[in-house]
Amino acid sequence: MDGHSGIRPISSFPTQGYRTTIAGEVSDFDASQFIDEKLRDNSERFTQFAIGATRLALEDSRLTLKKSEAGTGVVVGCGMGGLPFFEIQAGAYAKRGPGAIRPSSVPRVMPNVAGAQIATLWGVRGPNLTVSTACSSSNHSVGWALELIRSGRCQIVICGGTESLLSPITFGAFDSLRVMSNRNATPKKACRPFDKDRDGFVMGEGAVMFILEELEHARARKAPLYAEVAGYGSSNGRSNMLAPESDGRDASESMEAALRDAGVKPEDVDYIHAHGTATQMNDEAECRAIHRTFKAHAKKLVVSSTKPVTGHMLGAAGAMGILACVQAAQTGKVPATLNYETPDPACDLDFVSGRPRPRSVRVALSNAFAFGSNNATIVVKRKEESW
Amino acid sequence: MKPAKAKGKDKNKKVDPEIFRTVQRVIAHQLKSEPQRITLESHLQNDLGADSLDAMEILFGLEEAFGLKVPEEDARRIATVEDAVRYVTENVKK
Repeated sequence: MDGHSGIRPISSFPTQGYRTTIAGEVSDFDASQFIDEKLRDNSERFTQFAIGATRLALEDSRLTLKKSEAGTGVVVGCGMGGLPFFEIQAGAYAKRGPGAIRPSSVPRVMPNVAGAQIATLWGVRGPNLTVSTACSSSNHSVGWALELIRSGRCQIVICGGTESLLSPITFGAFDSLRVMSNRNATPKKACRPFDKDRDGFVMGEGAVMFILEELEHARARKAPLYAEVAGYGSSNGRSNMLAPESDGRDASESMEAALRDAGVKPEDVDYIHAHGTATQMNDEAECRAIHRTFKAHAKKLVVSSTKPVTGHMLGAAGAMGILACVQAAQTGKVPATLNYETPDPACDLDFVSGRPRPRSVRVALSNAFAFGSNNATIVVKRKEESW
Repeated sequence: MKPAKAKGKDKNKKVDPEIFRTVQRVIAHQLKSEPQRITLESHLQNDLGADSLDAMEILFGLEEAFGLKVPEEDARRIATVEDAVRYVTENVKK
């Protein structure tokens, strides 16, 4: 929220030969704060991040899960799971053949292992889903958590997203797509959403997890309440695997579906945490989509993207956006879009830049759009006085 | 009585301390337990708490440490530390 960028040169692997050599790398994560030595040595970073974030969320929510919690579920968004571990196995195979592949590879690499470990550690016996739709994964995960609560299947859902892909081949795959910023000499200035001089996203990593709970259930146990997840919408574009529809139609349909689901009018929206990756195509199409949905109100609401601070957290990006919406609603301050300096005529909205802007936020939207033309939007409402 | 006698006879066979120490180290590494806790008599699952994936990783570790390839039918017979030590002793030099 204070707007300090965590983007810096990558230290996880040697970056010689890559176009992009910077990322939002989590540098001080100590998994042993959250898990025992055995699990630490037998799990991947994306799983460890998810467990750590879940533990912090449970503590903050003062929630002690009893064993055999059937009314509790888990929904985790994760784009690509443990590919970094798979790379190590590929290296071992290349040197020593099939006998070198570790038996633990499958349960370390599968994207649903983060949710599985959470359920195992806290005795959750209800539904356990993993949504893997690249960069929109965790908006979908919170959306389906909402559905589980609305349908009465669960009273509590541990939900959010996690990702960690800073390894030579997986990062290299993104590098070869030429979608990341090449401003390696100025890492903190590299990610520039909606700025005229933007040149791509910067990869991040991490996890954001929430305790989503049915209101009466939460009130009965006197849980701290932050905000309401009020609606969820999604849509598919027909453009191609990598680009959004240039007229913003698909992203607009996602926002409209979410507003309908929440029973909110476009003019009630105060703030949008944009997907705002800082790629040429995303930012332009997202601005068109906001104009399509909000018409005259598009220039009255405020927009920002926190990706210059964290980098693009991929499977955790949507959840990070939801967190920004919750914080904005709670504090009355909208986080800034760092590095927004030169307006782009193709992106003509009121972007919060420089420092956080005081603004009463009753309704906020978090957008997340993904490769595969897969879009998801979450509506967050400020906590009511009557709660 | 006969099987007991046979078992006793096997037990008298000398255990190669180097093999035992390596087996102990492989198991301790996977289970994050003190090597001293791992005795010849320890049952991997019942005494040491290994789950099915631990058992697979321990086998993998033994294969790596001794340059072995343990076939499925032999793998199924390794339930205790002694089973593992005996298997390695019989197969490592072949």
